[in-house]
Amino acid sequence: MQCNKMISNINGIGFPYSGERDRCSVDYVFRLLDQLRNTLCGKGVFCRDAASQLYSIVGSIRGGEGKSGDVGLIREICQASLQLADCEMTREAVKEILSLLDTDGENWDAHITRRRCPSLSCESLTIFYIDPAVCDGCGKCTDICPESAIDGSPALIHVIDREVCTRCAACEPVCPVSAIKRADVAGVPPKTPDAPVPVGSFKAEPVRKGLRKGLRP
Amino acid sequence: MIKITIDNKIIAAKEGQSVLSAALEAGVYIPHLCHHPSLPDIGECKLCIVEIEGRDGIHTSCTTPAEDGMVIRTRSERIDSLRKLSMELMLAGHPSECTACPKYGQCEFQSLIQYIGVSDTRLRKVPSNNLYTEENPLFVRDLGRCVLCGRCVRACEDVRGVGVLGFKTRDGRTEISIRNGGLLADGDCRFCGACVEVCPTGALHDKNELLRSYGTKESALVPCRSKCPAHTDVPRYVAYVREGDFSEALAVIREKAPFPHTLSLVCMRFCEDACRRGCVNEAISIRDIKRIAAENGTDLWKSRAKSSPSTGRKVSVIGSGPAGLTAAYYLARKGHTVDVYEKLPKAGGMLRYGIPGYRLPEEVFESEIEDILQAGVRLHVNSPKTPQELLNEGTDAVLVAVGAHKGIRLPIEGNDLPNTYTAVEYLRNAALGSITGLGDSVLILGGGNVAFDVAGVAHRNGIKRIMMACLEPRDAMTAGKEEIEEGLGYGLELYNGKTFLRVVQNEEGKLSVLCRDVAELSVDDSGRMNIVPVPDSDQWLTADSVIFAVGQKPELEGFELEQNRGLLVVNGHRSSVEKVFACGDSVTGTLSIIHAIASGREAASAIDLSRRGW
Ligand code: SF4
Ligand code: SF4
Ligand code: FES
Repeated sequence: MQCNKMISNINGIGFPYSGERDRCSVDYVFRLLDQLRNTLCGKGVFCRDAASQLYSIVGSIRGGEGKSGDVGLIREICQASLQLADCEMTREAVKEILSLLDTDGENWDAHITRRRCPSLSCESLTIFYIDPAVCDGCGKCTDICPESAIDGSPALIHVIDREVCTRCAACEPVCPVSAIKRADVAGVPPKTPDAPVPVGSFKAEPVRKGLRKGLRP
Repeated sequence: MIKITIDNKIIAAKEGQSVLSAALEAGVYIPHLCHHPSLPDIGECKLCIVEIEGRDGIHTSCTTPAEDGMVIRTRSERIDSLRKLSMELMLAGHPSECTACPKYGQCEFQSLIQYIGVSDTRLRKVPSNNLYTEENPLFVRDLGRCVLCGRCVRACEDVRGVGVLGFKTRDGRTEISIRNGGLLADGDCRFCGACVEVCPTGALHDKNELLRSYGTKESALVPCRSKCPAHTDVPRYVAYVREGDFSEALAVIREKAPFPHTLSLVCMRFCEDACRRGCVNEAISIRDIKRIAAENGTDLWKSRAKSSPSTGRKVSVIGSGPAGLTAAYYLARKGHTVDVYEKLPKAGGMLRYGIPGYRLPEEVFESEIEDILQAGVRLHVNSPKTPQELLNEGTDAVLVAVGAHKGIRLPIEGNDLPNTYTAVEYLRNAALGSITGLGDSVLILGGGNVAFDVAGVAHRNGIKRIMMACLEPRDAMTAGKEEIEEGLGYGLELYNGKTFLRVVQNEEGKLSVLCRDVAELSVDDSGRMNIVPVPDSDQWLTADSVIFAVGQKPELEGFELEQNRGLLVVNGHRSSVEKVFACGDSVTGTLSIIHAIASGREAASAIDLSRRGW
């Protein structure tokens, strides 16, 4: 039985990948697969089980837990799906994944072997922090954080507790002054106050000094 | 005829047949999972993939029609690795342990894992939504073991036309869902069991407790047929009645029992007790359905019944109750000359003399007896005979089917006082029209169906006060629920859990029975009853007459056959004397009409089979 789902049935994410918009190809593929597994009809092995399997593999890569054979496995499953999946949607999706493995191999390699996301997109591989020089103490981030990981009161510089933060990125878009920033887990941790202090009182070292490649400007 | 070549072997295929079916039929195995012979193919598991010469790519053989001259390969490096990968992908979502699964050893998926040779180590385990539930009647749904082959969905939709099941994706995981969510009943499931039947894994299985007491799976799945003493093909005749084909239905019933109308009124309905539908809501009214067939069916069964040419053998049957007449009928069909000897003035045995006319009108069984006589059986009434007499007269075989017509009186003091009777006596006299005067009140000792028949007749004869006392507590009484309710409905006084010590007569001639409450009742291995009474619980029940309804024995005076506890001893319906067979209540004790009929039919076939030795 042929399923007539088209790639256009996937509408929670742009297709195909665009470096400009989607930044990290690993993160993009992960989100693409999540869309795919929720959109497919669920009848065929090479759509349903292939998508769940790929989602699980790419998920671990994105979480810094990829294994050396993973790219090979992804290729094998994608190639099989390309031949045997019943719908155009799945075939297009796996074709895109195969092409991203080819064109952006370095990025995948960085995730798997160095456990880094060079574009700081994969949340598990980044640190969220509040730039003490930018924060104006409005408290919007505290309100939205589902884990109550952000400490602070009005007019104090807010601080994210890195132990509690799950890197869900909910706070990022609500900050009116874009004080919430990302840093590479593997890099030198950015300097922030240990506890909230009044806005303007934190004297940081010059921000650029000693920072490695990978920090967002 | 289409010829195709599979792995260098030439096989034949039928027009329109799939490559997979043709291969399987020819004994060429191609792995498959979503394919099932009773279901339409959808080609989704991809295990049956093959390469076809002259065509690009890989094809699922279950959805590829066989074409003349096709050359097919079922194995190649590419096929093998794709097939393995498909198995691995399915296995990734399936629990790793198999031993705890009820399908262990009979699971198609497990066999495929072994046949294709995969394990779940290479891929990531993908846990499925855990949806184990025993909340539905009849089936356990353990969807953690589901591999989503979709067979159940197709069985429900395409075969049964019900469409309760479907694929649903929730939180990124696909599962087999029930229409309207919730339980099967909410989705308008018919509980036909088709889905369970086709499931290749342990995801859908019958509840164990429903299978346990049956020998085979089939007998568990069709309990009405297996629990019917005569193994009447209930599903088949119920289906005919549903289609409005009452004559066919009647012919089905008559394959096993020549008294369909009688049974439709008074059978004890072992089928309904076992009906699986009872686990869903209530049992199918099988007996009433039988009645529809019996009352509306034509004589079609006569043309269906096979008659063998005459064997030249003569069989004599003693007793014209349901057992004797059933045997006589089937023996006559087998070409034997059959004579039935009845001691009483009319045929029918317990149908006539045991079951009150208000439950079973005379015309009903008389017309069925007439059918039996028409099949060539000769009836001799007022003819008491012993097996020896008949053998001396030159019959080739004798069947003793005398029933159990001797009522038992409890071995207590005063059991033979005036105005004490046995149920058999009372019912027989009622049937013969010579009503025994019971006075204004009667006390019936016993709590089986016979006791209620006595009560029913007494009630219809205007006895004002009817009391019944029995050993068993209310919920352990052997009488049918309906009988008990009917009795209570007309004012029967029921005394449960009593043991009886003696009967005495007072000055006015009334009878009093000394009763004692029972604290505990048990039956030991040898069948002996142990009664523990409640101390100081003696009490008297007084009535004008007392009727013992505590069991019956066969009357076997002058028969000279081996007995045990008053019943005939048989081995495969053969008695201790050569050429003498026995069946019915005289062998089993009082059971039921359908037991007697079943026993009669079995005895007939035993006699027929033994004729080679005559
Ligand atoms: S038992 Fe219910 S769900 Fe299963 S096939 Fe029959 S109607 Fe459908
Ligand atoms: S429940 Fe059984 S038949 Fe239905 S999809 Fe799952 S494994 Fe197949
Ligand atoms: S058996 Fe042919 S695809 Fe499943």
